[in-house]
Amino acid sequence: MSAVDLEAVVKRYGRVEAVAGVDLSVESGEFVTLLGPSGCGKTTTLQMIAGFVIPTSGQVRIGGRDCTRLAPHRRNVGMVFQNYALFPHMTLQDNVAFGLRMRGVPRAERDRRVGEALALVRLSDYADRYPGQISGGQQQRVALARALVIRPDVLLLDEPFGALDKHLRDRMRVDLRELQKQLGISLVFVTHDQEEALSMSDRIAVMEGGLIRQIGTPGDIYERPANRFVAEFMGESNILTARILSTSGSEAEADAGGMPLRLNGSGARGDAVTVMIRPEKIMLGRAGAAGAGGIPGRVAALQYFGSSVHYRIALDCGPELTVIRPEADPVSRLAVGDGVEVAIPPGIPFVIDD
Amino acid sequence: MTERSGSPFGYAMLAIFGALVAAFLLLPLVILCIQSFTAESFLSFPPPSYGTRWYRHVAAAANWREAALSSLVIAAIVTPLSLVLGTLAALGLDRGPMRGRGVLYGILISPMILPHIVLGLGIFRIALDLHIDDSLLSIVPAHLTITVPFVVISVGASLQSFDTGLEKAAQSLGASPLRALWHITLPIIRPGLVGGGIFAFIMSFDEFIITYFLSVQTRTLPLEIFSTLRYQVSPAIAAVSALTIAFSAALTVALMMRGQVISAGRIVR
Repeated sequence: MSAVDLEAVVKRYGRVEAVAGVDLSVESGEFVTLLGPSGCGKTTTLQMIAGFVIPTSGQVRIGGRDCTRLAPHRRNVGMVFQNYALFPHMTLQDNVAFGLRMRGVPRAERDRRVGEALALVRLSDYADRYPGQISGGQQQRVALARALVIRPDVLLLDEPFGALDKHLRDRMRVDLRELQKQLGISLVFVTHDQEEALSMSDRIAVMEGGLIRQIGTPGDIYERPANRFVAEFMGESNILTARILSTSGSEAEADAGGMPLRLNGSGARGDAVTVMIRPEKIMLGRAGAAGAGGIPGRVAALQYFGSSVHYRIALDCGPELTVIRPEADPVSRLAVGDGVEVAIPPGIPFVIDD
Repeated sequence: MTERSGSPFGYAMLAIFGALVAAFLLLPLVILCIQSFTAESFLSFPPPSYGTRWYRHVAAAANWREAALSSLVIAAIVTPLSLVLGTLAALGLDRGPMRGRGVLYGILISPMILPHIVLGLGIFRIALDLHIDDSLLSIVPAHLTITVPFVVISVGASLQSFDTGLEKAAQSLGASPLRALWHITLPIIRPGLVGGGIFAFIMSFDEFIITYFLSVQTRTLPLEIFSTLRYQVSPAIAAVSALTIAFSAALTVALMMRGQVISAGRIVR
């Protein structure tokens, strides 16, 4: 049974459609991320699952039960807020116990479950502190414990790592994913950070303009984006227009402004298609080096990132390509102006909707 | 403490000016308090001899005790009512629609800027029309018109810095909106409630003009002081006034101590 079902959910504010018809099923124990730029409707969608926003039309089901118009406190949903929203006048212990108190859980059981939840996030020693006395990362973990202790049907997280520094964020990512698997909890995560989405999710729903533009595993979304928006949002990409020269089976020969490509995807001869090539999949070699044998060009610009180097390559035949190579790649001693040869393995150029 | 820049001369001037203002404000009260300890049967300054004669007189006199009691009773009824009404109004202003908020706020706090004589006259007319003879029944609502604005302002200020996300968090944990208000919002805005409550109490306890219009048989402390003054200038009045000042000052100090405890202690925001 699925933990959450959204069916044709729409939310309109006056004339603005914040969410323009979303269908989504979160399976039990699944980690689903709503990913998109600000204003794409991801937070509104989350708020409709939590009950803070009532849909204009459509249906929200949690654990198979229709909750579309149910008040938040009558749903069994755990939520972690962007600023954690810990109660400043209560100790961590009382913060975590709050949901159980509201449910009338007897004292003894309450104490036991609060103890377990605090142990789960490694904060047992801090039970008597107040939220103002602990660090941001610890506050984050209290918020998580507070939401988990009520054993929610689904855990909702709204950009929970936004306020943490990068190091802590990476750590929390791993921790959250482990916790989620260990407890087998269903989880909906909202973020605008594609790395966060790729590294944690079972499935990602990429949203734009109030719609889910593509939903799939991280691999699907990154390797096989459905359209230009998803391709560009999910990281660096080269997007070119190509004309199909000939087809055979699921492959096609095409020409992108003078650059020959072997595409994954079919079309009729003469069709113009939009093609996406991930920059780290392009081979790069020094001009004239043994085994290069590719399309000639020249380094127009480069950016050094430590673990990788991003090149802007101007091909002699016209188009420009972004190429990313690991820093350890011997070719990384290239400088601006150097002559290079570029090779694109067959099947890597991927046809997308424009 | 943060370090401030500025010349020592500027500091000295600031200190002198501050002391002058404080003296200007406090001097009449200080003189009154000294006079209240006179052992004579007339008021003069400085008193030729000192003693607690008039305090003992006031403590024993039935009229002063009754007046103090009725003032306390009225303030004790007015304060919780002001808190409930004022808090509800402040919540309504904070959470309600943006439109008309400014106008509504202005109307709610207007009794603070209206001359009390005007308010008193208006309320007197209404009380006459309604044939309210029992003066408690008219004095309590009349006091509310001047005390509620203080609560609205004080609680409203607390709500400004209150993160409504906390209420959402409480609701997501299973608290109904009412329980979220009770367990989360009210405890967090408590400094505003305490401040508004103390203000309301002092305003009601001290109120004279409106009460004067309405009182039939009830004698509050300010009314008793006034009527005593009319035919004699007894040092008892100085003693009663000194006690009233001490009482109000104690409440204010309590309020300030609370504020300090809260800002220095647990609630770190």
